[in-house]
Amino acid sequence: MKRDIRHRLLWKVLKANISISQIAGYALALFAGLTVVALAAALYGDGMRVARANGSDNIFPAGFVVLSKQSQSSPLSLLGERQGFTEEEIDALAGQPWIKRCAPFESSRFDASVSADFGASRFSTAIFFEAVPDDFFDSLPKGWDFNPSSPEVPIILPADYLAMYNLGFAPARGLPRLSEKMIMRIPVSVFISGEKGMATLRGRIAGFSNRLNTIAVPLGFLKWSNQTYGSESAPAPSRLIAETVGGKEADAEAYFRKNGIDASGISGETSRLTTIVRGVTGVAGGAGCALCLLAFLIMSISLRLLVQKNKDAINDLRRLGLPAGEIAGIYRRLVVAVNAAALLGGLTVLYATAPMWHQTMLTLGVTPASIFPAAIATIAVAAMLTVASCLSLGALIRRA
Amino acid sequence: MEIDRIQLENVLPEVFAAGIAPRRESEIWMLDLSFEKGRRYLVSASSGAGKTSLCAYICGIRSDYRGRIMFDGRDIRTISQAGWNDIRQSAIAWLPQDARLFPTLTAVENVMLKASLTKYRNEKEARRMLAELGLEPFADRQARLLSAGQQQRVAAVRAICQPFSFLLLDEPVSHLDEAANRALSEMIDAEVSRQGAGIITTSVGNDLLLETDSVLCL
Repeated sequence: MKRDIRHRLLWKVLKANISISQIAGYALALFAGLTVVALAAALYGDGMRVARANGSDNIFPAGFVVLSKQSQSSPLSLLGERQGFTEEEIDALAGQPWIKRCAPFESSRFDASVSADFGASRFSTAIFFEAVPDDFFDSLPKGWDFNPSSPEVPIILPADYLAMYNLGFAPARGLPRLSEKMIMRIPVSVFISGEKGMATLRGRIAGFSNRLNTIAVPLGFLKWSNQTYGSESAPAPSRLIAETVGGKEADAEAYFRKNGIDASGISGETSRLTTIVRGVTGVAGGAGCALCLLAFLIMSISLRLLVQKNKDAINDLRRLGLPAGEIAGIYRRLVVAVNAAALLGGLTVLYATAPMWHQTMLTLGVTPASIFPAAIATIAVAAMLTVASCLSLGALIRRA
Repeated sequence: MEIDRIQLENVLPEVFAAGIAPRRESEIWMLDLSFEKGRRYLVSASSGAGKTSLCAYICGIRSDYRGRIMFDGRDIRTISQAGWNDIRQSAIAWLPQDARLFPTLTAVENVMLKASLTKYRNEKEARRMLAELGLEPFADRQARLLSAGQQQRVAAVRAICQPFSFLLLDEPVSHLDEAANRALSEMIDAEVSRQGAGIITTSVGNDLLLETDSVLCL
């Protein structure tokens, strides 16, 4: 109670010489600065999502890349020597800071072909299979499993294959053009022939991928079929699948170039877009921080002037035995209130405007990032400025 | 917190030591002496002898002096700011010559600002004390609208709204008539007796109507 009375009386003494115009100017500058910081942080998150979504699909999301050794015209390669990854190379790759995880592709060690009947016409082609661990899939295609007692082989094809069929093969042979949904309903036969025997299995097209440039089957099927029909010698894996850390595409690209690795699924456009997003939001965020710093300087000068003008009153209060901290506390409340108002304004603008561009993102099929991290970053900037102002106030009062 | 003795050892204001102001014969400067709790001292001097400086040194507001001032043997130059806050709230009360009231606060608010800090008086008691000094009609008037004599009495009430071992009164009745002087003297006498405190009063001739144990010429 007595403390409340004292605070009221202290405010009455210390509010003299407070310049409303200076405080308003400060609040406006801080509001503008915090708003720019908030929007830049939110746009960074969303911009990176848009950039990384470029070229992704619903089976393998952005961030997954398929790695293979670049082809070299050596006598060994002409003789059919496969250029695989050594264990050391895989370990070195897994140790890179921009790699979350990586795993080798399992390859088929037998001859295979698939065929499909379209009424009177028959389509047949030699084929090879590869498989990656199931946990690399963002969402597993329907029926993506294999049971040797009732064998049916689900297959994922590169999306380009369908385009090639529809644009080249089908018109030339007088075959019908097919949509993804249609082709996934056509039964196919899978013929396997290896050192230990041969078999014909039922197959079906389970999906298409833009990012996985191979003919993929479940790992369970490939292990079973290699063991049952394939040769014993397992060559070094020629391809790896890896998940990269978001925003590090440029680092990854540099590493791949240096080490002669081809990466599909990490497009130059994605890399350029992430660089642009990072650059633009970085500049905007920097400008926001500069505005906040400017606001802080305005507040610092205003507080210095205020303490100077109220120097006699402050000294008289200290002669009564009032602690400097309690005197500073009166002005600290003012700083906290103004900063909180500016922060609230900045966050309001963020939450009011973000849904506008989020709507556009959703129409592009990109899920917007949460606004929460941007809000936290803005609150952190405001908190740092508040703490700095409060600390400087204590020093100003002690030196008055 | 209590202080039993204030000791001065060869204390001399810098202005005198540096020859900026002429130095006169003194029973305080450049001597060793003590002010004891429970005793009443009158420091008498003409203008410019350093009365206000002496009060400011003892209150820790200024330290532009040579020699040492000690509270119970402790050099006051070693006291921290927190220590001074404690001393000013509970050991040394000071009535400055120019009252130093806060002009935007009313008379009673000036008293209550101090009383809320020391938790020594409530508003009812503060108003009663102001009334005893003839200030009842002015209790809710802003200090800037009070006369010098009225301000001096409000400042006196504010000064004694705390526990203290010593009360420093810097020309406390310089603006008061005899009746006001008597009322204030009686109030101070009662409060100092109740707390068993010492008084150091400075004066240029117009003194409080109090008996003193010792008169020192500055």
